[in-house]
Amino acid sequence: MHHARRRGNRGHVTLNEIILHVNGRAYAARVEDHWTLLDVLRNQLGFTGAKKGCDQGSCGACTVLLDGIAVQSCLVLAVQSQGRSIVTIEGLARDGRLDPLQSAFHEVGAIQCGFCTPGMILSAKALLLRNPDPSEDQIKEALSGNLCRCTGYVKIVQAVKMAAAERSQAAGAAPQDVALRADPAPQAGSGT
Amino acid sequence: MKPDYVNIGGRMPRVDGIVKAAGEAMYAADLSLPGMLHGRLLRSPHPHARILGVDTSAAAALPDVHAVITSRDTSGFLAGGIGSPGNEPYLALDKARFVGDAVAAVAAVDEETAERALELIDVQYEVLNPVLDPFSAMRPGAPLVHDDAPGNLSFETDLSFGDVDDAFSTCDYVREDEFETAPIRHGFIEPHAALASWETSGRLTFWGSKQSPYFTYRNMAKALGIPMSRVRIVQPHLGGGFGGKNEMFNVDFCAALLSITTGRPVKVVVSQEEVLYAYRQRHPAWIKLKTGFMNDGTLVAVDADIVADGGAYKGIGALSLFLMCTFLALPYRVPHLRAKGRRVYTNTQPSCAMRGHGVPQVRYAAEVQLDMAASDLGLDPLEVRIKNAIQPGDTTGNEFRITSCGLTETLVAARDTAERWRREIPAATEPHLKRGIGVASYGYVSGPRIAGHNTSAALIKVHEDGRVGLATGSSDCGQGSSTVLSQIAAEVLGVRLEDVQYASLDSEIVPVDPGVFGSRVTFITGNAVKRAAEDVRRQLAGVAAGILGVDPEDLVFRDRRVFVEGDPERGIPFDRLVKSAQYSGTGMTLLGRGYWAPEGIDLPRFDTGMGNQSGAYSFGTQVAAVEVDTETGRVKVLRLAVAHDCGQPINEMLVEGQLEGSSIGGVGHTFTECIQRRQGQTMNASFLEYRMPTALDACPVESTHTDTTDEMGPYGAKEAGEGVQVAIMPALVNAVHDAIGVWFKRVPITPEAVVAALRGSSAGATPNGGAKGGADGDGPDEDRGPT
Amino acid sequence: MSLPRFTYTAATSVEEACSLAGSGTMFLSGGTDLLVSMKQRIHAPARLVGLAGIPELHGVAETQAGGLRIGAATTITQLAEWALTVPRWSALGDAALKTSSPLLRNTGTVGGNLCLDTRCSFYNQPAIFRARWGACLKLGGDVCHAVRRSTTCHAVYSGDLAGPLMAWGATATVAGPAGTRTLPVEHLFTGDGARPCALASDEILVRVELPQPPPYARFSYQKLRLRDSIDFPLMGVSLFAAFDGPGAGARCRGCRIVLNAAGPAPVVVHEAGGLLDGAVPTEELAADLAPLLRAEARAVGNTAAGAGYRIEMIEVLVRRALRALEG
Repeated sequence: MHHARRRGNRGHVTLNEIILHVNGRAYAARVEDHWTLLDVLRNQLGFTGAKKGCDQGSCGACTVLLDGIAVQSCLVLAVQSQGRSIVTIEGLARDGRLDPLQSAFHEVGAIQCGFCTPGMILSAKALLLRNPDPSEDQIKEALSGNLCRCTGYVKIVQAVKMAAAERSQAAGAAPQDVALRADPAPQAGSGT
Repeated sequence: MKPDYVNIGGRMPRVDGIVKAAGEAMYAADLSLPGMLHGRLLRSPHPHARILGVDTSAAAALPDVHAVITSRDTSGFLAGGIGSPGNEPYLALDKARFVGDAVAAVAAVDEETAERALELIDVQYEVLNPVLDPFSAMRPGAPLVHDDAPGNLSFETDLSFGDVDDAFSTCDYVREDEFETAPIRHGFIEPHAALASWETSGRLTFWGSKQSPYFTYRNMAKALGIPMSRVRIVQPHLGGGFGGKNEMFNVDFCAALLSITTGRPVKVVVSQEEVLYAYRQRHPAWIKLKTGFMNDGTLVAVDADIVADGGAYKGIGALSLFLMCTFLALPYRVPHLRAKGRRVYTNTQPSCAMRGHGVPQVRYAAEVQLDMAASDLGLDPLEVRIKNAIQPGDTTGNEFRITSCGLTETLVAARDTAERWRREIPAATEPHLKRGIGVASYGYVSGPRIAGHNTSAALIKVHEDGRVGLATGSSDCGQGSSTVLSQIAAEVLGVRLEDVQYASLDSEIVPVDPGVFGSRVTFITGNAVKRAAEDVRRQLAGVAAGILGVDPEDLVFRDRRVFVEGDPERGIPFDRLVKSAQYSGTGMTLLGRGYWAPEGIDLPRFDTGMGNQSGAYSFGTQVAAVEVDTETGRVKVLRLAVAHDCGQPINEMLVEGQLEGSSIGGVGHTFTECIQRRQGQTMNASFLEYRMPTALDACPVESTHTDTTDEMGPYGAKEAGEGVQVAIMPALVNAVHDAIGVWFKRVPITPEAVVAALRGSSAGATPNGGAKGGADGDGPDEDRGPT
Repeated sequence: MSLPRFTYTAATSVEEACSLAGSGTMFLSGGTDLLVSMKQRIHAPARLVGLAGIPELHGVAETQAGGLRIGAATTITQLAEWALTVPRWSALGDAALKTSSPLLRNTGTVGGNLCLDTRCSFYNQPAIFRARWGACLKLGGDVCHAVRRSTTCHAVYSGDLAGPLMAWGATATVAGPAGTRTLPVEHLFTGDGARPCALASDEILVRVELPQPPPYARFSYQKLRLRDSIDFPLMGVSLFAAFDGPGAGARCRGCRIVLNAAGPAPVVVHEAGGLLDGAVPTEELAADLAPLLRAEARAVGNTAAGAGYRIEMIEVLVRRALRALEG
């Protein structure tokens, strides 16, 4: 899956030309090996919707979807992201229409300063892709790596519930939206 | 009956919600300009050190480095200070005063090059003995943080009314306790960021993550020695503030000076790690509190001695102490009060305003002590609060004039909630889990006056298509002010919220504003917007009156129409009216202007604490239900409820959001958040180790508001959301007592503290090290100073 | 803070990865810990060799012998999701879900968590800290900031998976230039806080394998932490026991108890396991077991909670593990 890397020089610095697939489009980016996906998304490709909160994987503001999985792009190297599908907050709207999660966040008041919002929505998106009808506890668990100081999470959880309910009402959910597992209901102490 | 509003009081999504949901909202760090350079700051690793020399030559010689600046390149301007001169240089002059104090700054083609250049700067320090806590700082002979502050005293205030000593002698019951609160963080997720662009003509344009942009406007001009009108502040979206982004910081100054030096735009974005060790915190406070009651629960006298750790600089800390003292007068009737406050310098991060500004610390002490007293007196603490609740028309001993006040109503509502919860919440199923319910109350300001200029202003431009442009000098840091202010404009003009476009703040044309602090925006800027909209409405009414042949006074603006009162058919659509106005005669330009500040508000008398601080006061009561794991000491918050008097809510949904966020933030402050320091070093400068609540800590937050309308507030509105953070800590602490019978006089209540308390030992009950002992850590090496 | 400059090589086979090892080279698995410490300039390797592209390191599957094979580059989420769908492994899935946050589990790997660098309040710090305090033992200096005059490093092994895997009796397969070797998971740990991982610098962890659980096996992992997400463990107790039958009243027939986050390495407390053998687990047994575990704990004041509290919690965690096993 690795694309051919063309090496160029900027002084003593080696730049690799890589192809990143972001929001359904291929982008050629000239990057150094040690650049994070977050920095390349923001600085090279202009996807500033991915936010740099803590830059250490403890706040979730930089969350993107990598092959449908929510990851913190501050802890992924850009060169590791070649050949994979990257979705940022800018890629959620379709044909000028917001994703139901985006609409729900807006409508129920789940957004205040908005800095955690892109990451929060993408974590929620990853959840709903795997589990279209999550319980409240599952929503809280799925968002528990994304910090928000403004909302106290109450309306965020409500927004995810609302978006999930809208999805399940919408006829003909896409096949890829089927849950990978229905309700894990983990049980402590269960063995063989 | 309340008036039939269209745009006021409902649940309306925020005007900036869609751009934020779509990821289109631009914050300061998201912006870039052609030719832009990147700046980074070099910080002192020592808490207290004389700077003997700074050699920047190697850094300056690094390719792609455009400039290296130190204090030698500055005018030495000293920031901060309210009521007295400031003492904080943007780049350290003679000394570094805390770990993280900025010493130099670099601009380079990219952040990495700037970071490499920092490593090449050679600073010669003479390491000085630091003072690390306020009590050792006040000891005779302690090293001085500032030579002109003997005893390291930063600010002192002494408020007194009634006859406190005499009053205590008449009391049936007097108790005295010492309380302590930890240093904590604002916790915004967006780190400080600034972009500055200097033009040769002498104009600076600045985009920064500033909560109160006009603080920066004023200080930038002074620090750079240029006229204020040549400083253009443009406000991008702001990723949270909570009081921690009010002041202009070194990041802002260095971006500007580096731009001037290099002739290129310069962006400086600090890391969250730097935010956590090198910027502001809430004042940790030690509060000795003595309160006297009669046997029936009547509150008679309060005597408080407050010491707060101000950290290395003055900042706006005088106001923090002033508020700590004066707000002991609310929310109960206190006939006799003395409150002595001392702010003390230490070689740690500077303390400043944070949501609730000083009041959370003292109300924590007072509300917990009230429960302790009620318990001793065999009274219901809620009834004691009701008995003493301040009432409309009261004037406190320090001259707060209480106008609208629904405190008693909130207490009654809280009593109902607590009773319902006791029925609804089952007892814990496992014996090691104990549940409890607690309450606490607050009173808060709607915009304190801190300096001469207290006026906010608004501008309105009506577009030809009938849409309304609105601009004010108050920035929206997430609290929703742009929405609330747009609703007010829409209501006056009879259009819909979506017809109002809230413009981004640009100091070149948008009127000056004191700032976004002290819960002033809805109350004060809201009134200014109302007046600006009324100004436009008057202009339009004049035109409509001509068209319809009626008196302008008889016109109603509603549902995007202007019509004759009592005869809705006789009217004209709003957009048609605008067009008519614009094309009448030689063409009318529809601009509205409004400004407002409450009359008769006193300037703070910092020495005595007297004076009416606000045009209105908000009130509320918080109810909390907790479950204590008596084995591990962890506390889970089950439910929260806020009954509050914010006057007429402008937007129910946004008010709820404020209450929820403020409350859950307080959950963190009560149980998990504390800045840990060793030898003045912040040890938990990460979101991994500084533990803010996650979604798993969220709990339902019920809210009810009283049927109150404030005569001065726009459409009757007052403060919401900041005041509630005042009562959350004590409500939780009282709930923990209800569960396990232990009073915690220190917050946060760590699991260790709970376990130790249940064992009957005091060990481990000190979260932030017990500064009175002189140590700032409990590790084995606390007395070893690294060199 | 940017990452320090390095060359990245994505290895495509175990052999290639081992051949690239050398001075200044580090292996990169999920990166959730290593990249953070590189941003803090605790590490600045000249080369990172990425392991994620090695197919052999991926996958979770039952073996023909009825055991479980987990590739080292399997993410913790992948392990949890797989295990939770298979009843006999679901307790392992529960344990995996106690690791960190969902976001970090999506990137962090099983191998990375097992080979996690030890942690210490005085070690996991930005560069400005070391500019004043100097390098500690773990960084090649000659002082320990956590324990005065200590000549050994007290950094704490803070992985979550080692305890459960050791309790299940897992083995690790390690590849190096000389081929592969298989060892008990507990042998991955040196017990030295400064160099906690027993692998040679040119060896990589390929997979872990759990033996087929005996009939009527039960397991519980109890983790002490201050928040239910993101946090590393402050103490952990894993308890795995085979029983002579189903339900309450069954007796233990072989039991392993592991203490993690109690010192520089996770420890199997054999004596405690032995004590439980033949017993019907009840909460009351915690009082007997706890002293045996406490004797193995090496907690000092270098984490978010005090050493005394962490030690005291051992008994609580043991009690809860026993309760979970009561059936």
